[in-house]
Amino acid sequence: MSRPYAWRVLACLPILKGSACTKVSKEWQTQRRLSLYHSAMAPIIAEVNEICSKDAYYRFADKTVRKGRGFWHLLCMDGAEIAAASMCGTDNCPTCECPKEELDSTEDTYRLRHIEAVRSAVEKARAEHLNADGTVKERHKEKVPTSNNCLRVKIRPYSLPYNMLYDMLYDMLFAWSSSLTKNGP
Amino acid sequence: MVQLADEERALKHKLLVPNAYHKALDFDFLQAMPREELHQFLIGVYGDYVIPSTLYEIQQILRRPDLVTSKPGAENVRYLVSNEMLASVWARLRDRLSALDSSSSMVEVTVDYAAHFYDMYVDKHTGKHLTGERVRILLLTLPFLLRDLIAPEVTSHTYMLYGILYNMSYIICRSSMSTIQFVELSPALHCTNFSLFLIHVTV
Repeated sequence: MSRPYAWRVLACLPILKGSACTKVSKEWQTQRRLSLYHSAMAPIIAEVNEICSKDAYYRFADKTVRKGRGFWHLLCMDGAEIAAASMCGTDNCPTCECPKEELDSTEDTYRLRHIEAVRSAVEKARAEHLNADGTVKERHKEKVPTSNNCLRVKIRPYSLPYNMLYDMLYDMLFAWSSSLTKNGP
Repeated sequence: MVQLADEERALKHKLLVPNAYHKALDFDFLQAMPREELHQFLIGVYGDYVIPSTLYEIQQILRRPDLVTSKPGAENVRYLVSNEMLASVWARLRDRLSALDSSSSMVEVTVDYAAHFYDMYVDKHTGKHLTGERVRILLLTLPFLLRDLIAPEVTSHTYMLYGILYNMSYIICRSSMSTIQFVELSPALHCTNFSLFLIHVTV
């Protein structure tokens, strides 16, 4: 495994230096970097898949040629590379369902994330939120006001139209008068 | 309506870019990745807290409150270990780090890495970072590199203190000689062992 001939360089991946970009938006650069990484990895993964899909003759470490089949075993990655590959972010655990705010609760165990479930959930979400060309659908990227903001708008009397207030008062009077006439002496 | 950002947060997965690893054949890559716990320990605990606290402890030893040359309560405290001496300690640590090679310590450290370490932990450069694998090198080697790191400073302190003591003993000796003369001349103390005691103390 550690012999030089055991390693094969498949590709040198491009990097996107922020200082070389004309667009200075961090969000754009992050998105572009992620897109570049995965578009570069896609043909490599396809080639490795081809190796893994059929038997071939390989020269093993004992210098004997045997028939074998390659398989994906592990990914040797750094933290930033894990975040790029899993698209999870460096501040989240990619391997289990532990939410970000509970990362400090080391006594609890969480369900592991498996590729089948994640893949199907991601595909479903992509179909729901993205157009066919990969852009975000209308009103799927809006900033939704928080519950506090919603509540403030609802209870502010000045935001209500005058007619509505008048009608409401009228309704209250009507309810009072009708109930009084019905239930009164 | 669930928004894109909320969905991404819930799934812990970005949605705008298709993930190439999802097409890997029979490969649960989420479980095949290195565990983050060790990585978090290396960067989050060892790199961020243990190494700075170790360097701080060394500095505190060399900058002990009693190792000052200025008067007590002085506004500008002059330390016995000057800034130049302290800088030479960190330079020595950097040189020790860069001197590591695979034949002696199973890891090879370049001069650039040692300079990066110096910039990050001594100069406190905020833009410098170390990856988990790089911090692992420090975890393996730093306990050995820190051994006798401040021995020259401690030795020089000892010499300094010996020098101070020598000067003090010389002063005491000179004063005691006059005292002895005074004692010898004093009829009241002439019969006591006070003069002999002073000779024992000062010699």
